[in-house]
Amino acid sequence: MTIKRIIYRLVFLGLTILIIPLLPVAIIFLGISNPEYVIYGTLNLDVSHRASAWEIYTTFLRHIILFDFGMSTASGQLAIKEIGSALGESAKSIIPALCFSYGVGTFIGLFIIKSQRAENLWRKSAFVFYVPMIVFSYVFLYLLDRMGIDFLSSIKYLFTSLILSIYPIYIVSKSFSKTIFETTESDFFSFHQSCGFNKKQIWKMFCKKFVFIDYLSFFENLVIYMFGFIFFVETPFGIHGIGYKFVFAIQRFDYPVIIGFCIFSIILLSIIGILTEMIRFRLDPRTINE
Amino acid sequence: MRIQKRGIIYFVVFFLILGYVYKSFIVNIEETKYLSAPSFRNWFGTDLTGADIFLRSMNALGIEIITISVVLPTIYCLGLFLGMLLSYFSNEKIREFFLNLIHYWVTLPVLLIALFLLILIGAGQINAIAIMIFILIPTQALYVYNQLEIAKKNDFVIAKMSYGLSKSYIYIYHLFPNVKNGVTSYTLARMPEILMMNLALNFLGLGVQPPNSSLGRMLFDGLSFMFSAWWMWVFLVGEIIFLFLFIKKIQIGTRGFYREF
Repeated sequence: MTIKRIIYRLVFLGLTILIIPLLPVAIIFLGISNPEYVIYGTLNLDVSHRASAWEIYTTFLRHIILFDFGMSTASGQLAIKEIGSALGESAKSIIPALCFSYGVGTFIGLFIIKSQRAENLWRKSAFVFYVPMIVFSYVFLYLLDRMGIDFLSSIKYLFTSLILSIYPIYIVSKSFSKTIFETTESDFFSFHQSCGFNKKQIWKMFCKKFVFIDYLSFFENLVIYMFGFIFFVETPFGIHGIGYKFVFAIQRFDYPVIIGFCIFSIILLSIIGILTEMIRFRLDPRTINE
Repeated sequence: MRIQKRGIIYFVVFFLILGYVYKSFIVNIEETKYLSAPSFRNWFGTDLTGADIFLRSMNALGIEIITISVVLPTIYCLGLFLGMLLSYFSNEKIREFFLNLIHYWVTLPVLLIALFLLILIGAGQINAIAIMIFILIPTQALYVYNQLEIAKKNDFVIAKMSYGLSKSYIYIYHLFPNVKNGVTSYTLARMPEILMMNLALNFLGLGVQPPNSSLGRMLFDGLSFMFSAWWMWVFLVGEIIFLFLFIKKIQIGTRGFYREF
């Protein structure tokens, strides 16, 4: 089932690349809106020359395959180069945020399992995680300024990572405590206990692996979440990453960067997803027969 | 403690509605003041154009509520229809294909797809609502499908089949009532997701267009005045927190309501 799913995902990824250029063509010819300027601008086509649907489709497809999204109208640089440099800047916030989410989430999860008081406290404070990250960005930025901390220094990366990881920490801690509870209550655990293994040994041999597999299962979703909402933290903190550049590309109608960023991210995140699933498939003993 | 919390929520809702009605009447007789701090006349202050922030934020809140009340029922109905259709199909190959397609869709960055589509078809709240519905339906359908598959394994369904009742009859009169409550709870649980997406689209300026306001766009405008005119964002942040917590309360309330059934 898992192999089939990976194959299906690869096929659908291919189909996505083929379908993306069809969307603007369909929109132009159905007359839903007027995106000619978007498309012509991205493809560096002459607006006065009316291109055929096939011409637009093939040009767009070629541009996607070659990752050539034209020149940024704002900076005059290659759009892909701009996206690449922004990606490097955003990685400074996303990678620590991921480490932070898993580390702190596991730590909290352990506390929840061990102490009833910690669990109650956690449940009562859960509302914090429902507050959108933009709120935290604004509040943190304001407080940093009030405290006299220079928020334009490298400290901004620490705060953006912290803000990005608030909701993921909730997900990780909840999932961790659930996995541990389910594993310790499972027949598998009881069986090994009756075989003479103590809890520590069972935990070392098997349970660690299950937790890791569980973590991998939502790794992709966490990356998508952070990637998708990163402009909520980068714009207030002035980090020139993908989120910030995307917001300003929209402001300046810099279509090569906008379209390039969307397509590049969709493909990149799909590939990350497929790789994660493949690793999970290799590690999960439950799929070994497949 | 519970009554106190509920009391606070009722008080805030009452204050916002009453304030809106009151301010709507006095706004026309006010002289324009640019970027004025909160006062008795302008409770939340005024913005760069001299507009009353309280009135603008109430307008934005209204649009958020309208968006939710359009998106939620639509994804509920369409998700239910698609999920039932998927579960109804007896052809394994077709079902496998569609299920894998939905699984693939679920793993895609939907917000980025929404942005891509919105750039192509043009900004506007109606377009944003349409795209939100489009990208949220697959997950809804997948949930309905999973629920139906679990319900199908119940003994009563097998018993009904053995009576010779038709498949569509069992789906409409037995399986649907069985999954209805779960699907409703799940749909309501998606409210923060819809709000967050709407906030993001509006923050980028792709949703509500002037003269109407949106919380996302107002927050973006407030960013330039982060330290010089705090009232441009502080009240909005408070409103957003309130909105999300209010929705959470509704969710908990409805969950309890369905559990009683």
